Amino acid sequence: MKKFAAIVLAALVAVALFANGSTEEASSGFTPTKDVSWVCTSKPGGGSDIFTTQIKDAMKANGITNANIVTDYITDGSGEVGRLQVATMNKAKADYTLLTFNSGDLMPMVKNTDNRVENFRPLAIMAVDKQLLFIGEQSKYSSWQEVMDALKAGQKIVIAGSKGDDIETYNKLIAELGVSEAQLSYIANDATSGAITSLLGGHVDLCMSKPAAASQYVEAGKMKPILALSNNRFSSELLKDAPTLSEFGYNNVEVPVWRGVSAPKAMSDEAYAFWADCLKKASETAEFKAYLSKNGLEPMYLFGAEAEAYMLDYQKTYLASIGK
Amino acid sequence: MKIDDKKTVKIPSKILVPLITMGIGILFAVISFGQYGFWDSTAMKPTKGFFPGIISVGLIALSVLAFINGLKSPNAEFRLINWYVPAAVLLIIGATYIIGMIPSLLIFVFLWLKIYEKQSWTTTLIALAIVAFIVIGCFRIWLDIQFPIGFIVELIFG
Amino acid sequence: MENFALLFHGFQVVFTLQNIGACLLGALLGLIVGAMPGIGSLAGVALLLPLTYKFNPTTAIVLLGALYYSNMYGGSFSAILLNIPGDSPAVMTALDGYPMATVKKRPGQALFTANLASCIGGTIGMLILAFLGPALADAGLHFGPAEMTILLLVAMTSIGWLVGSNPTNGVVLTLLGILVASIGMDLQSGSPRFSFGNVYLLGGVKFIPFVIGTVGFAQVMKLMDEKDEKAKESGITERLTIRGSMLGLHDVKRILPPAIRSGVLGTFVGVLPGAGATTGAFLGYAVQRAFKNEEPLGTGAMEGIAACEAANNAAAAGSFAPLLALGIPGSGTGAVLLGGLMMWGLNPGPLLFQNEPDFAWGLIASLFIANIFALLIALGVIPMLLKILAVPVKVLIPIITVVCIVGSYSDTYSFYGVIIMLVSGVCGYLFEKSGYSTAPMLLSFVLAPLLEDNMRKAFVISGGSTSKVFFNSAISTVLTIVFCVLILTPVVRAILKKTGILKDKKTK
Repeated sequence: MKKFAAIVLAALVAVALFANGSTEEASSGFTPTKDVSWVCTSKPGGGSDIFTTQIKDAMKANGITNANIVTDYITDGSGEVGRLQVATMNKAKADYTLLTFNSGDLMPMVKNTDNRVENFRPLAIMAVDKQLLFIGEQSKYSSWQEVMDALKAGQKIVIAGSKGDDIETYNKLIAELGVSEAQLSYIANDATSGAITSLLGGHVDLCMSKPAAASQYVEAGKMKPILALSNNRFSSELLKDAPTLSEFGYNNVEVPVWRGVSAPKAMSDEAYAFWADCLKKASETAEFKAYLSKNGLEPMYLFGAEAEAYMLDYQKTYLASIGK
Repeated sequence: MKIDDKKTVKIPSKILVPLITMGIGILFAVISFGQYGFWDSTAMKPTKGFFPGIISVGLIALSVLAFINGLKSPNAEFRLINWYVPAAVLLIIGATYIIGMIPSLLIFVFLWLKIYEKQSWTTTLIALAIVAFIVIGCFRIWLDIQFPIGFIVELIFG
Repeated sequence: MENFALLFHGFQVVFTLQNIGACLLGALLGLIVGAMPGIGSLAGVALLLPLTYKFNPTTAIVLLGALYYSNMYGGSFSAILLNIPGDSPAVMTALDGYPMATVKKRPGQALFTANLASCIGGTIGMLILAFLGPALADAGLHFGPAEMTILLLVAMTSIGWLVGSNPTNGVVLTLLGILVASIGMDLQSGSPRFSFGNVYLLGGVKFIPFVIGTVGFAQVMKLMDEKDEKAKESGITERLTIRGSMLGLHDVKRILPPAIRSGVLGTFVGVLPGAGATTGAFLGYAVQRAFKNEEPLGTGAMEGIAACEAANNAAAAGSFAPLLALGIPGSGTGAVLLGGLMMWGLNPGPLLFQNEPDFAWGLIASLFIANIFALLIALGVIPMLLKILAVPVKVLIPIITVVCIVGSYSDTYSFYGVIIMLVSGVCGYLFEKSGYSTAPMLLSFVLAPLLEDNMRKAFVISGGSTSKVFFNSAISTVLTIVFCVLILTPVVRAILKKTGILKDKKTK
């Protein structure tokens, strides 16, 4: 019995060694030879998942890579568990692991855990979103000027928005305007749709939203943009009338909400170059461009070292803003 | 294995349960009031400790009542046999790390029915087929849930 | 009448061989997925969404609608037969469904009651949706954070009716459920709460594994006591046929009033922002307390099953009103469905009914058809499902254990779910054994986070003023009065009884 076990064990070790040896060979000018795990830290069907699927589909449809990419949903701990797993991934698997990584993931990660961008190898930033403030049909105010007058007169104004990046934008806004949280208050919702509900019902004065979630309400005349939280006015027909804050004599408030992809720290240079190139090619496809325009996202293409520098800088600014 | 699994043990759970809930109440109350605060007077709104704070005070108060009631009532009887199931789940979790989840589950069903319950081969195999259909057919293949494969398989195909 | 013509047009859109086929397929798949504990309607719709890629847009939407809808039917199966609620609204179904199937030995009728009530509730919801949809959605908007806070307070007080013979113990677990639910990320402050430095707890305690454990796994532990008793198995076998499952005229008469009442109530609850099917099922059941029941609720009363199942399905239909007319999903499932609709170039929202009448009315019509299909399929599978009860308990124990593990794993895609299931299962067993009923804990776990979130939003809007929350509008004033009456009634009655003014009347 013991002998048998020893033989089995020896065989297993041999097979394992052989398997590892064979992948090592292919490492000059990396090509994937195994299934690739693409970690998504939110539930299937959400924004991150759609972004991931779009890139996967664009890569497959255009033959950018033939690797079989499987999306792994690791949603525990609001996604922190998945991000930690990718950050600490060992060398053997690192070349075959990708992570969808957005500004909305970065902020809670550095705020609530010790995990940092330095623990990853950022691969790409592929899209960016910005917010606007909207009024509804029942709002008391009809323009940003009126809102500012009301604030000066000491009235209380409530903004509804989503969580994460929206809260960050709000914090920058009240800091720039120099008003207190009690005067210009914010209520957070799980998703922008909740904020829109409150605005349409007349329970709040203003609503913060990204273009995609709000566009059809603007089209139907139920909502109107009154302030672009951006350095420049928006270009689309529906949103171009919204002024920026600098038109009122303040500094502009802009918190770019980006979507990107990252890799484990342990990923080899060859694999890193390979994946950055794949993502770059994917960003040039018609499928990906259609995805951007459909979701009201603006293109922002940074790959490899550029993406890394951008994310590090973003982290630094954010950490400074929360005093960490 | 001749353990008398029908043996009953009397445990004063009717006073233990309120003691545990009281402990949880105290823990949450301390964190709520101590760390999170109750009312944010600059922003004029409740903090994140407001609601759990109120609830934990209520829980402490009612746990005291339940404790007093528990003193009067007879102890509950526990049997070892009921605890085989959670023990089995712990073993399955352990085994999953080594041989993977699907084999662990199938082996568990087999061992439970054939060795522990001494069922016939027919019953055991039918039950195995049903479990295999649910786990492999529905969850793994159709719904595409990725179960852990265990470190042996990972070592080979890693 | 215009809506009638439009609905008729919707039926014309749907009545092609391919669409009917898609509807049938959707109903069947939804039913199966709904019956699997752990998957639930949210994950079910998300996982099956890719299936719809293969069809043309109208067919895909018909499939999606049928899928979503019949999911609601499936949840009650495992709740009634195994005491493992497949999704959160089914927690209420298990309260009467499981006793009716086991203690009363009428499993077939219990399933039939659940499905018939679902169909009635759903139909009422859809009729209201078809004729009042957009207007209803606008009415729902009047429920802001302040109004929702008081409505949820009203709902929470009625948990008191569930606590059973030992009110103190019931309230202890209700409060415990609230505290457990408060673990995790706090939405309003954007920071973690009670996570004790653990990354897993950052995401909070997940409901599905929690409910599989507290109800299902605790049940398996309890079954170990019964596994060697032979007596139980006879008695059920003779009723395993479809004929044995049929409801008599008397039964239908018992089901109809609660189903209709709950259908109307559930639809309105479904329209409210974020209230969802669970709140609907819960209120439906709570309201049923006020009406006459042939058997006491909680002991296997048909009225109880009918009240919550009808409300649950009506709420699912009602939630389509804000989804289609305003583009606002009432629940996580709604959000996934919205994503699916948008993938097909359909933009649910204020412009939908004008721009895409074919789609909008086709979807509503397909819900009607899916409702009928789901009922027929459910009736067809009842005899098969009942065979589960003929399986000896000994054999059932390992199988259910596996289902508990796989179901809770699938919810989190990790062992975190299994561990929640195991811990809450062991606790649930201890609680039940010590005379604490766990149903109030599960409900407070679902309702309390909604209540807290709305309350905190309401306080932000009111600038910290309590009176502005409770008397914010006509709706909140009325609800506040209802709330006070509900709270004070038992107190006043107790005082009157003590002073001898009111005589204690025996109802049993």
